[in-house]
Amino acid sequence: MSEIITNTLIVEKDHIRFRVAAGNGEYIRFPVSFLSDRVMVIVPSYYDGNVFNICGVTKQYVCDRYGFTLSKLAHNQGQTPFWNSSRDPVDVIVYGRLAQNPSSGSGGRRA
Amino acid sequence: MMDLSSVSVAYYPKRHLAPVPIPGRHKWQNDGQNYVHDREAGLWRTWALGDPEWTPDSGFPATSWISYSGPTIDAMTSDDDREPSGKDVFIDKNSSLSGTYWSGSVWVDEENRLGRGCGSVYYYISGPAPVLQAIYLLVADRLGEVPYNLGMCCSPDLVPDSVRDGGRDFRDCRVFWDDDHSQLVMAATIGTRFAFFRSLNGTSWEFLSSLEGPGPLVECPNVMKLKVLDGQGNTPGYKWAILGAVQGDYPGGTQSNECCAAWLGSWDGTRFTPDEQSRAIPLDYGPDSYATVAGSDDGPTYVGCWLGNWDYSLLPSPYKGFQNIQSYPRACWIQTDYSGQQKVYTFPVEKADGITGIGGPRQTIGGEGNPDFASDEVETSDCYRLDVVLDQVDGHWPEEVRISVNKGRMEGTEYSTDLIIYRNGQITFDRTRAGILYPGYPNEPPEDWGKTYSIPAGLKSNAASSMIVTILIDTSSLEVFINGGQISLTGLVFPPKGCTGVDITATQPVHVSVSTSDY
Repeated sequence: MSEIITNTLIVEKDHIRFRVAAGNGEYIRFPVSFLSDRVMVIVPSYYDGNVFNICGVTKQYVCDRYGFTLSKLAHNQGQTPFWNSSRDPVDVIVYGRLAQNPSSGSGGRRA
Repeated sequence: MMDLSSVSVAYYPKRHLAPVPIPGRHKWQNDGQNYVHDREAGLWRTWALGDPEWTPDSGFPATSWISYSGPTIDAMTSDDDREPSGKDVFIDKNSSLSGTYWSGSVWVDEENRLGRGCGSVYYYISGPAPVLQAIYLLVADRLGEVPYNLGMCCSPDLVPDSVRDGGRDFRDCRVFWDDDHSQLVMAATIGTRFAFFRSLNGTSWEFLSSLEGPGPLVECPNVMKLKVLDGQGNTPGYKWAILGAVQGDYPGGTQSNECCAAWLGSWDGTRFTPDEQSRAIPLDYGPDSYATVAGSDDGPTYVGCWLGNWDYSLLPSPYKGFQNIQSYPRACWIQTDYSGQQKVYTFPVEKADGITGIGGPRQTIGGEGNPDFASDEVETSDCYRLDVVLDQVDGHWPEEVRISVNKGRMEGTEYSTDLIIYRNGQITFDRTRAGILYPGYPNEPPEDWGKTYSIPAGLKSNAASSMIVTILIDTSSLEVFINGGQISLTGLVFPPKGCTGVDITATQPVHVSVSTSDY
């Protein structure tokens, strides 16, 4: 089960940001539910000093108002890329339709 | 050789479903999808696989979903050019991962069981995913709104290896709400079997069981409760059925190598157990009846099919403008037939005004001194319903009764499509003299086009002394129903324009009552 990193959730008018510890293939449930399934999930790629992790949504599974399944592919400086099951934290940005006063969850930004 | 440019879209059906034709284009369609009642809009809706850009040279069609709608189930027409899409596809194939959508199912959550709101719509659509075939979930807030693809929700990975078929065939899912067990159930094709899955949220699915079919491929499994009617039209109960389709020869199958078929049995929330005598019983013995569709809305259950046959449907149609059609919707139920066996009956839905029926003066044809029945006694056209009641004379059936429709003469050649009823109960559909046009024209007719198709010997009427034959005639098709829906026979035909005659002959005396009506 993926874990939202405490105090990382930020809720804006039309999107949320949070950091989560998850490896390739893990289902990530949004800390805030959206009003519509038309969500756009962005998982920025990052370099950890050893491998470069390319991240994104796994379209083999449903991505909806409730969550998505993470893809995390590591490129290892010329070595064979591999699906990275390590649970290094990744940042997640989700655009979508939110309630006017969404519950921000633990660690959320206070009004 | 006939000038094909003059026929153009002349064979566009008047009562069957096809995309709005465009001369010079083919506007491909194959499998239809389920019938859904849109309570909010007051419309019946259905969908089909369509490829408006397809040409005979472009290989296997890459299909989107096209849509049809209408105020009643029998009045649906193409939604091409209507809102909301304003174009000739409803769900664009390019929203899938591999540029093609195949068959699926539409389920409306009328009571907000899954939390997306009352009336939210779930489209489960199969497709050739980049690696294996899989099923996508698309959702919309309401019917008529173009749905949004959320990704894949069900794949062969969920199926145990022992029944997985290597993941080669995994498609044609149908979904229903199982009220007895409070779960959404999906039935899908996995090659020779149907597989059953369940979901409590609509997005994640769990494998339940599978059912082996009789042929190399089974498809389009509509699992539903059907009304059981007694001889008086009362409903003493309901029974579970799968209305599906089979490809390939099998004992008890048809001569068409593909057919719509029914399984009767029980559903316990996990497994469908068919009755021993009710496995894959053909619903239709004609050449052009495949990819069963079904639907209901707290009333009658409706069923339909694609009028096409993979043996020749990819050949260019000479009539152009459109390619392949969907059947006229039929009501279906379970009834005990003459042999004491329960089976699925299908019969054309009655018009909303109820004007259809069986009548006409009774006369005797066949034998010495009795004239044949000729078309000048009834009103015909290129689209009408014909009802023929045959009654024995002196307790004997003629050796052969022949009902010829689409009859006429053109440039010295006689044309007709014939239904031949033999004394032993065999009923044969013969379109070998039906017309000069067929897929692939002007080359030789495809092998499976130019042969006859029969309901096996043994079919008798519930009342053994009579038989009722109902035929829906449209510009490019015939749908034949025996004894009020006991069995049917469906085929495409392309009679020359003006060949609309009816002729009934018999080798020995038989009473006939003939009537025609609109449908």
